Amino acid sequence: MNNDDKLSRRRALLGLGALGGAVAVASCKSEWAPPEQDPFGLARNKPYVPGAEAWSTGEEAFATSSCAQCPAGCGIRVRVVEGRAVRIDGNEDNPLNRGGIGPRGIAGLQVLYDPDRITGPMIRRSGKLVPASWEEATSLVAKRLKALRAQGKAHRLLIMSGRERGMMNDLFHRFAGAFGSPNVVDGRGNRSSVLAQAMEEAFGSFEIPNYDWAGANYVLALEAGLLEDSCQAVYFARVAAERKRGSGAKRTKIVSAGAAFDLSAFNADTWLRLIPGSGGALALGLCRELLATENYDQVAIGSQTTGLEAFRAAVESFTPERVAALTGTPSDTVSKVARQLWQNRPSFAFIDERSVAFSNGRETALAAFALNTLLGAVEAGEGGMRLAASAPIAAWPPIAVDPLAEAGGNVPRMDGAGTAVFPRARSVQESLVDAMEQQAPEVAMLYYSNPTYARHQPARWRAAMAKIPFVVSFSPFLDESTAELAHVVLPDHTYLERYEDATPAPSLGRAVMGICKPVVVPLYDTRSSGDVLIELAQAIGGSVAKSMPWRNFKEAMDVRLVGLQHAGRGSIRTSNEREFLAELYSSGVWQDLAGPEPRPVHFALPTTWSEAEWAGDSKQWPLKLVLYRPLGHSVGGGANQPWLQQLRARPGAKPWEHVAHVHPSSAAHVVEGQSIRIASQWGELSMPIRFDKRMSPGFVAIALGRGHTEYGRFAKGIGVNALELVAPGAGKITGASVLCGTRVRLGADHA
Amino acid sequence: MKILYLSFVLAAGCSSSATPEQPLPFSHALHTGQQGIACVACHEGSKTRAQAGLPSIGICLSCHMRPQGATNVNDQVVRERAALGGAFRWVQVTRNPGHVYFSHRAHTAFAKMNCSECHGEVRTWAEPPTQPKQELVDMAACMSCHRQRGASNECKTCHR
Amino acid sequence: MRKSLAVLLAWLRSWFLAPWRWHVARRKPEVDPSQRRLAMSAGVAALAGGLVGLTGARRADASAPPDPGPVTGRRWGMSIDLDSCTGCNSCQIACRQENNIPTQGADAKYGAGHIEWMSMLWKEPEDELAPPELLPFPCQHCDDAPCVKVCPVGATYQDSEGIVVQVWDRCIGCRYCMVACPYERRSFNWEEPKFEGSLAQMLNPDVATRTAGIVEKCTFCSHRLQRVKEEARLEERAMRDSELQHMPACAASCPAEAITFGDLNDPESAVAKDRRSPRVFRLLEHLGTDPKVFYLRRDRGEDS
Repeated sequence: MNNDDKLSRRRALLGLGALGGAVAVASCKSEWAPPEQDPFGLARNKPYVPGAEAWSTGEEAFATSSCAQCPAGCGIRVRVVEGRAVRIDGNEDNPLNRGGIGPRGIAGLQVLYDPDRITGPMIRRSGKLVPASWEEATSLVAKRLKALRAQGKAHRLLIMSGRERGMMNDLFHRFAGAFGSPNVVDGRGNRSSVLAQAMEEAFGSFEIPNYDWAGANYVLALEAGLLEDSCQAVYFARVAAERKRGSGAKRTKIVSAGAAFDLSAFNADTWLRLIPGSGGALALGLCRELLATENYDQVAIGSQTTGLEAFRAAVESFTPERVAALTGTPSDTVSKVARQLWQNRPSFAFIDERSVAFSNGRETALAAFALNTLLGAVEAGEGGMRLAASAPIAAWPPIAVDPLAEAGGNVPRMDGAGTAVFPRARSVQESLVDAMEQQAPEVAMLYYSNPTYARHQPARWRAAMAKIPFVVSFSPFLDESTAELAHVVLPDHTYLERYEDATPAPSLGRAVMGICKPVVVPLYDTRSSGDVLIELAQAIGGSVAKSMPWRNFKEAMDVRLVGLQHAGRGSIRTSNEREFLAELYSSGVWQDLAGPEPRPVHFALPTTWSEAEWAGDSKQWPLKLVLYRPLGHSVGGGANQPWLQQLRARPGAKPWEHVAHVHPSSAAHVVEGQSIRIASQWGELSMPIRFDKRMSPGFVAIALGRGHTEYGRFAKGIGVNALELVAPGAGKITGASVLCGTRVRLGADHA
Repeated sequence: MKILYLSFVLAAGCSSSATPEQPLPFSHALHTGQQGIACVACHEGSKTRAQAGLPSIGICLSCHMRPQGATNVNDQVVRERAALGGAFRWVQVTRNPGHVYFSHRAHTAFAKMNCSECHGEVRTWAEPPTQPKQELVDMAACMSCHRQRGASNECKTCHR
Repeated sequence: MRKSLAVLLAWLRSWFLAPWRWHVARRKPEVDPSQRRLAMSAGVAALAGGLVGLTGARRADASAPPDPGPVTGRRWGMSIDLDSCTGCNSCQIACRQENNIPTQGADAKYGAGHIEWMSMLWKEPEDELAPPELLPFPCQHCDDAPCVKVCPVGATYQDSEGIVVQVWDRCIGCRYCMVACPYERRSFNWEEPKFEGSLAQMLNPDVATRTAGIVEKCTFCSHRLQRVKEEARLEERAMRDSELQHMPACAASCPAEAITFGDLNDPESAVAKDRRSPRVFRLLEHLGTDPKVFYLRRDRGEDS
């Protein structure tokens, strides 16, 4: 047989087969197939969701809750379809965000459905964390705590909490108080520390200030992170937009003074490039100008301050020339801005957490408060700075104190907060590692705290905390501290699965209280940490148990929330507690309808200001490192939410990349985009550089929040952790973390 | 050879013999035919929502909370399952692909169609169906009916 | 005889293989081996579609030009107030979430792999020290859309109310529309979209997920619009501008209410009013695409 024949026979066979197939296919009808055999969801009437039912009741519900990812406390409305949360929108009825929501709020779904979440309690056995039951895990912890108490070492319990406010933070304090340990180090040692302490020093109120943007005509933002570091990002976005649109009233002019052209500058009408850390100098220069031209609110100064003459003498040296040299702004800036501030009242100077992230943060804050007082913008009705208004929630009954608790309470704190070293601090984080190196605690509890990543010199913290014989973590995610240190993991529900209060950072000038409630059935074998803590207290027994007499955390919360009903004011008025709670949980928020009347304050005007200090020898490390919290970062976390890796908060930002920004003149030998070594006296790392002509020369800016070695597949290995470069040690007087206070140099990367 | 193999595979795949297993042998003939219960009583979304929905156990309980009919053992099963906090996982036999949006309310509330116009004489079904109804998943059938009645044949009406 | 049979078979084979080749050209989705057979069956089912087309009965429907839908007199448009926009990126993320846009991980080839319907476009000015500008940038839903003109299979068309629709199932992935669009607002699925692990649980059931080989773009959230229409019709009333203003996911999430949607033909609607604003401009107007997204210029106050 020749080739032609072979080929044609083959072709005939193929053709017949094809025809046969065609016939079979043409007569083929759609057949039912079991859902497991339909991995692409071709036969489903919605996108394929693994594990979702093939049948559908079509149930859809909208649940109201609060977002707990940042201190803003925005109200949310969650769309739940057949038990799955598929959308988070802002709650129209919540006065903080009024229907708007930030990028992190929407990405909250990626918190709930993080594929690397901890799915149940874990115990470390032979060096590895293995699953365990709740009974096993909690009884192990309870046993350890009881033993600690019995040995008279109750004060060797350390609780590290990441919260600045809220009832869960209060619960941990309460537990520690009844247990006998003074060592609760919470979030007040972190972000808002400097501001809150300065507010207490100046005005007697330990909380960040409120600013009435809506009522002001002119705002000077001093090195602030309006949409980024600030606790009040969504509120600011709403209010700033309304004021810019004018809504009938005069348009607010926003002037942002800062180191780089970031989102704050973008949102301002005018940007003043400022040398980082010199915001206080600008404020004092403006004070001098206002005093010199007699353009200041004499009534306010007379009634609210003392020490005017000493202040006048102190600011005399802040001449426009000196201010121009310190801040890098043009020399006519001071007189121009001072005139604008005075002529466009109500006006105020705005500072937030980023403004005070330097070694002179406290002095900068006091300078800004002085400026606001001169402008008559403190506790003066519309358009100024107000002290925080707190919601009239009830207090828990006093804790039961037994001799062990009393003895423990008398032991000095490990972190030195409240002592002569840090007189006004309630918590100090960065000094804790020194204390732990001296003597490690016996038991440590980590509640939304990740010190082996988020503190200065993480490696040092890791070494110090490795000596702690028993570490308990409540984290729902396997972060660095949980993975490396924890002996027992008692994973919390995510905020969409639990009951909790949402005490917001002050922003409105009147009190607001939100609540979180479960919007879906908890996905995994997790438990609300409040419930677990109460159960531990009950297991320990004695006065500790008596101090936590509730069945669960919701009950403990309700005991305090009914105080709002007793106060008889606000947006929810009912005749009895039960109705009040029902309406509160259904609507998600209670708010005061009006703020308090202006309160009298007694501010001793400051007489000192010093330049920011930068640790390290200036010859060896010629550049200064500025760390900032980028959009979506807030108090930390977010690295496990891939949508947040795709934010474009700067020109040229690319998804997933992590770059350092530097002025081209400060990096003469560097090629843009090339990975470069950045080193300080304390550490080094490599990352690509991007030039930014709008930055101040002599500085390197790096965003926090990347460079995780744990925390899930989306966080691991992306970017670098710039905290490895930062000088250790707590800031002077305040004990706060000085994010911007280290010198670095750029060097060629070696292969 | 590949093509031959594929044709056989296709033919084999076509004659699948899988049948859906319903949790109970629900009889439409009994409920809709004899008892005269309206479609919308159990398929709650059929007049007001895009998805008609399959009934949750609470709907069954609204009647079967009390014994209905002395000889039917399934009546008892409903109460037992409800007492355990369970649900009936009905198997939806006729399903549109993921890219198709079918709105029941557009057809019932707006076009004022009768359920049986598409689903057939459901009141005669003594058992749940075991195969999908071809007309309900066949685009040509949808389009021809739309053309006849002057409804929109625009792509995004049904594909999204 | 043998020769004519050979010719017939060759002709049949070319018909048979053409759609098969088209299927193979798309990247095969990742499946585990036990599902491979069914995947192949699915592929051959696509073949069947081509063959069945031979009968002629269904062909008319499959390749007919798209029906734009009934004329209602409405014309959908969007206005974006750049003065209010704070650059928070909420709109970008809300759009991702609402439309089941897959997230390419860190190892994706950026530029080739990144899918984004609503983009935040930073524009650097000529003067390097002047501030950059930011544009939230969805599909412009042009009234004279170049993408509609070049699509060979009718996968993109403009409906009677002005929305430029993308029909996932017709798209063959030729990407002519991506070449034609002067705004580069179309994204291509180079790879099969993956929703890792439990992240698939939050897929929006109202929007189909796409497969590899499909071009996708902003739809003005027409699935949400359809819901508003149906609910209004159920209540036997007209749609209100107030429920349309924040209808798209981007507009609903914006804390500054910078994005507004509505009926341009309704002179009282918010978008129609914005269109009459002295600050209004559109992008690339000189190209004659007649886009329906109106931007309101940023008004940085004069330094006094």
